[in-house]
Amino acid sequence: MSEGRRSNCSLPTGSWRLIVVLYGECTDKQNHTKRITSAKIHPNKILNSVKDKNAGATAIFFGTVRENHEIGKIIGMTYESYLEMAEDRMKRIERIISRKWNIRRVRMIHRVGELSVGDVSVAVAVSAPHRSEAFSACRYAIEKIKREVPIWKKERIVGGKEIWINGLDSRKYAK
Amino acid sequence: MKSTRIENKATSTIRVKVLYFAQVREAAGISGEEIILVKDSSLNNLISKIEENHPGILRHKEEIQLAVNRNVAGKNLCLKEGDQIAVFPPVAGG
Repeated sequence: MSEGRRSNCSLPTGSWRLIVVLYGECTDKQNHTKRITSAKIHPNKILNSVKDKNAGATAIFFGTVRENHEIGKIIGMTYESYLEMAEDRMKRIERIISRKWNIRRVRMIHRVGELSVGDVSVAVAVSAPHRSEAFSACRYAIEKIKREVPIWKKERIVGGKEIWINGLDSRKYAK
Repeated sequence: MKSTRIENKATSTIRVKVLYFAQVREAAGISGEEIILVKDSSLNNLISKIEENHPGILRHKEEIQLAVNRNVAGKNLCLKEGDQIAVFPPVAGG
C-alpha cells in the first residue's frame, strides 16, 4: 500500500482547536460499481466474462460462506466495505497480475451485505494461454484481496451472537 | 475590521471528513463525521482528538489503519481542506 503524497507537518499535538459535527450515514451505492456488489454473484457470468479465444486455461476461485465455526453454527456472514477504496484496490490488483503474468482476461468481484451459508462472497477468474499463469495469477489475486482490499466480515452465529473476523488472522494465512 | 477577522477565521481552519468502518465504527457509535481542525494539523493530531471524542476506539488503537483520500497514510501526514480520512481495523475480506 502506498503512502500519501504530501510532506509531513509540524504542528504539535494539542495545539489546535476542533469542532465535531455529526455527519450522518455514509451510504454506499454498491450496485453501481463493478467489483464490489451487494447483488448475488453468478458463477457462469464470471466464467463467461473471462472467455478469450487465445486462452488455453481458465482458473477460477470462489469464496463461500461456510457453516461451521468453533463456537457454533453460522447462519450467515455480513460484509462491509469502504467502497471507493475497495474499488481502487481491486483495480490495482488487476493491473499487477496483468503485468506479472501473461494472462488474457481477469474478473474479480466481492460481495457485501448480508450473505447466507453457501453464498459466494468473492470470485476471481483468470484466463491465460497456459494453466501455470492462470493458476498463479488467480492465487495471487485472491491473497491480495484478503490482505489489501478494505472489506470486513462479521459472522452471525446461531443464537444471535455476532463476531467480527480479525483481519490479522487472514494476513497470517496470506503470506 | 470585522470582515478582516472573519477572513482570518475562515483561512485558519480546515474541514475534513472522517469515516469509520467495522469494529471502529461500532466503537465510535457513528459511521462518519466532519471535523474542523486548525490549519496544518497532522493526521496524528486528528487521531488524538478522535480518540478523545470516542474513547471506545482505544480498544483498537494498536490495530487501527488509516487512509487519506483512499491511500494508506503515515500519522505525520499534513491534512488539507476536504480530505477524506478512513479509520478501520485490518482488512478481512474473502
